[in-house]
Amino acid sequence: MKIKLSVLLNLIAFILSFGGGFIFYRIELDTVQEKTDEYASLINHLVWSYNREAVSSFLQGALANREHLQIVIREPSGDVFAEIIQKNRKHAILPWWNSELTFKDDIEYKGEHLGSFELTIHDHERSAQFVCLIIFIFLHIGIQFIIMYLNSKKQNLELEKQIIQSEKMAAIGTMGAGIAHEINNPLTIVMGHAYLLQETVIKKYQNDPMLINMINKIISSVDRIKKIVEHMKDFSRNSSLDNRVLISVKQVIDDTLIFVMPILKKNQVELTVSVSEDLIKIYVNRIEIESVFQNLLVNASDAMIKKALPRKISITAKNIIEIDSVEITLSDNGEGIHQDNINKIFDPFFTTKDVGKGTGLGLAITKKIIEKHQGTIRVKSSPTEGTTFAITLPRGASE
Amino acid sequence: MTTLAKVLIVDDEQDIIELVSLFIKVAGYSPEIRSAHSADSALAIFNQDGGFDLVISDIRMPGGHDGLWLIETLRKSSPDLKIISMSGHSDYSELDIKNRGANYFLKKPFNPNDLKNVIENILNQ
Repeated sequence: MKIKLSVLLNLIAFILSFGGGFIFYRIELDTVQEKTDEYASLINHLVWSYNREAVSSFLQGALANREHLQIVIREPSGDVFAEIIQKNRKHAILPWWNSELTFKDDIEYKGEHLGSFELTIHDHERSAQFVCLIIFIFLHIGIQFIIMYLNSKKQNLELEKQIIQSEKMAAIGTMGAGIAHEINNPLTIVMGHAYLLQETVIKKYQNDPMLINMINKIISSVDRIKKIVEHMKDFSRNSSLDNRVLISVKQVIDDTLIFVMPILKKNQVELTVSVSEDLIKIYVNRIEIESVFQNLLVNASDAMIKKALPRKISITAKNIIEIDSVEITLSDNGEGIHQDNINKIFDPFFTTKDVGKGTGLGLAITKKIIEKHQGTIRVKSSPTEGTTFAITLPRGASE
Repeated sequence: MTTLAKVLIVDDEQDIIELVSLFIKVAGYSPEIRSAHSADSALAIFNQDGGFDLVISDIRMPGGHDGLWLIETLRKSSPDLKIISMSGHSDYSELDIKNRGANYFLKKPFNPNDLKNVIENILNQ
């Protein structure tokens, strides 16, 4: 892979123009797993066999120390494999570097012209980028850039993930509508005949327990399929912005609670609601927003069933003037969402509920509905403080 | 209970037609039942035969017009006719279907009790 750095140098000049001081860093990375002459695999070791966060925070630590730049790479035996010490030098010479790397010009610094510098590295894909990173440290370019680089890389990954996610969603949406119809016809036939069979067994076969048991299994399984298809239809439905009304959040919460209270009572959940008096109104499809609240409340209540009392859910709603929106939070004091799962909870078909209990589409639909209303939804969760969902919805203006 | 004399069931799948016929019988009605596999043939049978007091129709059917067209056309000519529309598709909203003239929208899949309740409701309207 070839990387051209002339473009990056403009960026460096830009950073330097902010007066980034001349800073020296000391970097010591212990225990390289195995000795190798190829820089590429060395860098791979540095970056990929070490935790990237650790490298990044190490660099930040180095910044705080403001020592001279010194890189020491040790073998597991403790022998020094490579050591580079740079003191106020304009460019670095890397001892293990081979001819594939070419500096074309001096790097000039502080007030001096940053020359037309070109660096070519032949490398296995990713490592080249990190080789560049290390070189920039040598060149005393400034830690700001490295951190910025790491951050922007991380952001790119996030963005990429989001794009993949939204493509996945769109695909499910399109599929959902088609599949729903194809499945529902045969499902009607299976379900209908199962019910007819049930009646026949009751009337003509003296309610034979074995037959009834078999038929009930068909009916309950079909119900499960029905629920999944139903959710897929909801997910793919595009009509969420039909039938919008200007309404207060309090009204929507009150309407939701009519349905949800019996479930909360059954699960012995204490509910507190604290809603500001002066809430701005929102312009929404109320059925959909109700279903969002209902889904989050029932989820919270379900998640606390196995937990000892007290089980608490609280709802708050207040205006957020800065973004001209209203923020609704729904918190529970349950055991929280596992850190491994927190990034997946809005993914379609992700569920931690027992088989047959959840379709894994509830939160995906919830997110989709909120985003269609130009709102946002965030989640915060910890084992000690439970889980909080925070939703914002913009001020509504009826057309 | 009001009686049901003649029913037209419209669906492109024969199995659904037979099932709905069975549901009607299980619900305790014994009307004369006619069936059609498309909206166009349904309208032809409706006009030729006459005397129907209930039409139960699917919405999405291949070839020619769809169930929404059938509902609209029937409603224009027969204001008192009872129409139940049924669909497993998500493209149609209940409100839209009712606006076009259906008395009730039944989501597929449904069970015998669902249909029984709907028939009882619309006959008593």
